[in-house]
Amino acid sequence: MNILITLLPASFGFSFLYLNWKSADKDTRMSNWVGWTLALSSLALFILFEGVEFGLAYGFFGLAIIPLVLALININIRDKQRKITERRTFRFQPIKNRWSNNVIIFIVAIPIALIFSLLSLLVVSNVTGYSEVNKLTLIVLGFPLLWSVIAYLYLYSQQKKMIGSALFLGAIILSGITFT
Amino acid sequence: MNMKPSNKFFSQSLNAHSWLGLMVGALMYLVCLSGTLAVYFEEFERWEQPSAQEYVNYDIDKIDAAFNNLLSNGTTEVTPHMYVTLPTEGNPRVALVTENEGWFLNQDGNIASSTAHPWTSLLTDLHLYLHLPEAWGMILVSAIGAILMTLVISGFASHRTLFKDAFKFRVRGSKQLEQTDIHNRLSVWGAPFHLMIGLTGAFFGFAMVVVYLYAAVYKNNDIEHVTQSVFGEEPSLSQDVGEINLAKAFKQMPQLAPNTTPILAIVHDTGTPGQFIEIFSQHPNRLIYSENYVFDANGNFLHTKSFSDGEIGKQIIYSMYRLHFGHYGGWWTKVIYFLLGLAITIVSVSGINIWLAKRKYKDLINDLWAGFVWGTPIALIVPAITRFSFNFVSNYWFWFCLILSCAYACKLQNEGQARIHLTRIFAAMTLVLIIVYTAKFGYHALTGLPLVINGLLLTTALIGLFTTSMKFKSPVLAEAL
Repeated sequence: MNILITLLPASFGFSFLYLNWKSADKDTRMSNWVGWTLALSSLALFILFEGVEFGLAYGFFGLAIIPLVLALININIRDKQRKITERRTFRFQPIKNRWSNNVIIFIVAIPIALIFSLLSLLVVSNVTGYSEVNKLTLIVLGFPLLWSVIAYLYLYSQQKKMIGSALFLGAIILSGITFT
Repeated sequence: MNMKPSNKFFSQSLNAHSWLGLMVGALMYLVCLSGTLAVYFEEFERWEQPSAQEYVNYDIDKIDAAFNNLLSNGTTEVTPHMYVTLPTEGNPRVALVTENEGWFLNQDGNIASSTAHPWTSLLTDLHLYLHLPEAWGMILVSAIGAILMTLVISGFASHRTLFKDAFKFRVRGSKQLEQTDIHNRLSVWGAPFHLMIGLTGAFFGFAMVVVYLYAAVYKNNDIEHVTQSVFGEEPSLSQDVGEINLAKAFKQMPQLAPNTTPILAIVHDTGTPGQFIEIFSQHPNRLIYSENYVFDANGNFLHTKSFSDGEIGKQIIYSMYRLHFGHYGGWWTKVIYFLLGLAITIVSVSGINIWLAKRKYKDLINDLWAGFVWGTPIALIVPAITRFSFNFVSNYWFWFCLILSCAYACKLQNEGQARIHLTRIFAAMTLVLIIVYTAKFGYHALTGLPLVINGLLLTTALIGLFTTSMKFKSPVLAEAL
């Protein structure tokens, strides 16, 4: 019974967002607020009924199914013939191709970003004053997040060489600080 | 002030997202598909050995007697760690396990058949290590977890019409548009789950790397000290080496930890003066795997490991396992994890499909990708058939089937035909599996959990056959399926 009571506001909330999204009305700010508030109230109810840990997990993961079902309801099957795509013989061009550059960048950049973020958090954790186990938790959960942000920024940047060099130098400096 | 990011921002983010996705797309697909199925690894283990007795109510005195008999009868090698797994909702069986082998225990306390689930191990090893050597494989898979987070971040940054497309789902028509809609809807709404899976996935492989690094930098290489700060200290005892009083320890649990459910007991340093018992007991509405209660060999309570009420970092670390695998809250949590896991799997495939559709031409890569995607289910089913027919399972067998599927798709030089043929082969192999399984286990194949799994396999096979064999009256439906 609790589960039904909890799911009801989110179902209304996402349905509200969906209907609002479909409507031609351009001024939807207020209606969106109502939709999201209803969805969040389901999260609050989950926390109330199931405790903080299970409540947050159910709220963040379980409720995602509702908008996906709504998107499925909104399926638009187009009655349009697909173009025939030309077939070519595959030719591997390892040097001239942009592929190889990107592979090299990936192989170099991702590990450098890993080392940089790992060492950064190792240094940062030491100045937090946390207990040992909390420091380790900060590092082990913080560094993948930092790593993913740095990897994105690096790949995003057009000045790859500059940022890559900066990261590389940063990693060396950090490892120097850390190990001395 | 205009806060809207420029078009250049979106296009550069999309570029970063695309390249990163292309680099890891295939491995991401394998990890996500195997992970989605591995949510049900306990059920698959039960399916592999359907004749083992299942029960929830156990007599701890009988388990105690069987355990001590196992230690003293000399028929098996006593290893430093000896395990007693207790019945749970996902796995209602009792087993006595050494570091090398295990046996189920009947409700009357008699030792039954050995525990063996090689096909489930093939599946879980694919998810955890990609069948590589464990240490490196786990680091690679964890790196894929971190890259998944990068993909979520870059994916959001490259989505210029996030709200405008919130519920758009166009199929047929342009292939690129169709795959983009599938990719974006599943990834945007499932993003909290995908981030959590990436973060917790990264944790498993890198936790020990961090511990080693931390110990090397700050603790003069004292790894044991760092490990104990997280997982609790082990007692130093000096007792007469005798029987392990499991029953006495268990009988104190209702007073020590009321409303909790013991799920596992480990005897550490077995057969030495320092041997001790650790009982893992699950707390309701907590994500921590368990609180652990430590007893000496005579069953006298010593202390807890403080996973439930210790420092916040300890509680978070000990919650990673259940959070990643969805083993909390009951059967419907597993269903949600399965559906959202399937969503990431489809996102991995549709990401590559978008790139292929953008190329405006087809070549060997299209064929290889079709063989890889549609061949993976076959590569998982075939080892299950050989497991039940000849008791033979090998990781190489999986990769051989996958390579064969890719080669077949390349020979066809038509990705649509390859999809149809490989789906039919999968359906046929699934039917063979069900027949082999039923012939091997007879009555057990048609009751309880095996019936559910076999029924789902049969349904999957029939859907596969239906979608590839039927001639639809409506061309729209035919194309959509």
